Amino acid sequence: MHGLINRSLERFVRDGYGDAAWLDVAARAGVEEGRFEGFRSYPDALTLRVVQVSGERLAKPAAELLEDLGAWLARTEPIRRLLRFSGSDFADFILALEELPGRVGMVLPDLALPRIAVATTGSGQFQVSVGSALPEWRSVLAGMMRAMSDDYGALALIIDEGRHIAVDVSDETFCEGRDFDLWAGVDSLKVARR
Amino acid sequence: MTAMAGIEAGDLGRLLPLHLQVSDDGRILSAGPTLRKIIGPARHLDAVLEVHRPHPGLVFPAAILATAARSGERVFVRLIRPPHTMLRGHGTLARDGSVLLDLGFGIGLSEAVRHFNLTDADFPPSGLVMELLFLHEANAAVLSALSDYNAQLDARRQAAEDRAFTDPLTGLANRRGLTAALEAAMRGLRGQGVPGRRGADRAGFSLLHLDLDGFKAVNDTWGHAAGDRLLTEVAAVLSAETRVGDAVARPGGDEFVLVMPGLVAPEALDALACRIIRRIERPVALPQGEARVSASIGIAVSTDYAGGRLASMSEDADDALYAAKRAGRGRACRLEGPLRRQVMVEPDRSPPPAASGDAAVPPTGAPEGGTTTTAPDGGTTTGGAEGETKGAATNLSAEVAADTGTANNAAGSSRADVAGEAGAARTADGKSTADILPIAAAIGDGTAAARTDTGATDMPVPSATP
Repeated sequence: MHGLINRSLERFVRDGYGDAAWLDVAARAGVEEGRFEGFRSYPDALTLRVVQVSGERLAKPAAELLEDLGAWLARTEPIRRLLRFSGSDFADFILALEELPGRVGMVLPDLALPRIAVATTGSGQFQVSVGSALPEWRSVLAGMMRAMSDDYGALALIIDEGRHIAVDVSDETFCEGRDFDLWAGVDSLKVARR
Repeated sequence: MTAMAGIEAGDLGRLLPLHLQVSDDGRILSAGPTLRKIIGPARHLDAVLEVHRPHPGLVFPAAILATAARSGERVFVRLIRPPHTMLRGHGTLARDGSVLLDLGFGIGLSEAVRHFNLTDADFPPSGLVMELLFLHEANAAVLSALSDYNAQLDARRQAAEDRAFTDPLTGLANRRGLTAALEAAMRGLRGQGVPGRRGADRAGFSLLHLDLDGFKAVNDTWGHAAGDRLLTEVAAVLSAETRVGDAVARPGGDEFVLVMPGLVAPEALDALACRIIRRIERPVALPQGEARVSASIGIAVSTDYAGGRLASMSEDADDALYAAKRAGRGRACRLEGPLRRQVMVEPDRSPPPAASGDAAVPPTGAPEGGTTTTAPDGGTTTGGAEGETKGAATNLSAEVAADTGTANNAAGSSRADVAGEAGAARTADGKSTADILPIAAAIGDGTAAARTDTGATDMPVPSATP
């Protein structure tokens, strides 16, 4: 698994449960030097072990933990912005999930996200499936979608049904979504460059 | 205003939000809603935009647009007011003689999006605006993560390198670090040294090989922990006696090597060697008791070597070290001249008058004639810090070990008093001179090879700092 994915996992645990919790998880799972590097590759087995150990340590089912991870990712500002580029409203965003692995691949060709397929089953109703043998991906995606529906201000029911995630967008403008100015990123880049 | 045959202006605006229709006399007949955000309510081309390409020359701007539309040439127009946004596009000629241009942003897209506060809805879905902005932002995020990662890698590489070149026990350079220091010193000779230090580097460098005398006994009797303590003490002495640009290494065991750029004068080297030996001879308090060791030193100087022969310098310094050991230990052997004449140098271990009563053991190499025992500044040597100063001061016994063993006084007798203050400062730790005398007993055969040096300059310890 790409280092950035592992690093996200590490940051999520550190952020939500503290450095001590992470170091404990890392030690039990056998993470070298207690930290992941963003631009290295790690065996999938190690990533899965970290997920399992984190669940045990934080007393949470793995699926729930991964949904939290997905939501946490979507709330991380640079990632939130990049996700918002996909669509102008939440339904648009769901449909554009098919393009997500391609978009990510444009910037990080070796990140290797699984394929995502979106089927429209009715008005504002979708089935999102993930082309991977690892059910973990689906949990992360479901959590991310929930956080993004809040971000867009849409009222949507998102249920992980096992084979796929069912989405029912009942109100696209349920409440005010968060700001998304195209240029905010441009400005922040300038600051970063300085 | 109807723009094109069969298409309402509003529909045209939805289809081409960045279009511009200009009459042949330059009036703006239609402009897309996004373009309006940029040019405002202007009614005439010349009020807001200048044609940048094709270069209009003396031709009326609207006319050049028509010409370009006819030939299919690309058009670049620029906002007259700041931020002078450049728009590019192409056009087509309508039946009424007006020009319809479809414009877009080039590389200035991000800037324009920010300045005019544009949103996704301002751009036609056929364009790649969102993709471009996404890439721009994603790219920056990845680059920033990557540069953090690089900085970390760099710090780790540096740490690993430091570890690879450092002896963990003493913090001195290890064998690898020594090799690097020697290479640097040799590069310095070839004029590739550190800028600003070139003069000193070109002057040559000296190589001191040092081996402890009596270390094995301490290590064997009191164990490795005691031995390690002792090695650490010696490392501290060597670090204190050397300058910032010098390299001090422990390539292994109880061997130490000093690489000293710019230090090639025989007197300075002899004084340094004696001072180091005396300081190492100070007893070191260990849990089991006081450890007393000494050191032998072999010295080679790069100026005695023609270019290609430098490689044998280390070997020669080693030979000199063993010559010093054979000659009775607790002394230095300095190679001199192209023939590598061995000059034996031994520190003065004679007690200063004030402390002489305590000296139960005859100091190694104390001259029979007693010429060295009287310090020139006799009255002031009354123990304590002052006595120590005297102890650290060095009497030099020089020996030319060439053949007959004729005493050579020249080397020892002509030394100048240059660093009295530095010597005092270094040694003012209040130790009694008596402490540093009895090592001769531990070393055993120390007196045999000593040749007198009547010069007895109460060597004022030239500071190692030039």
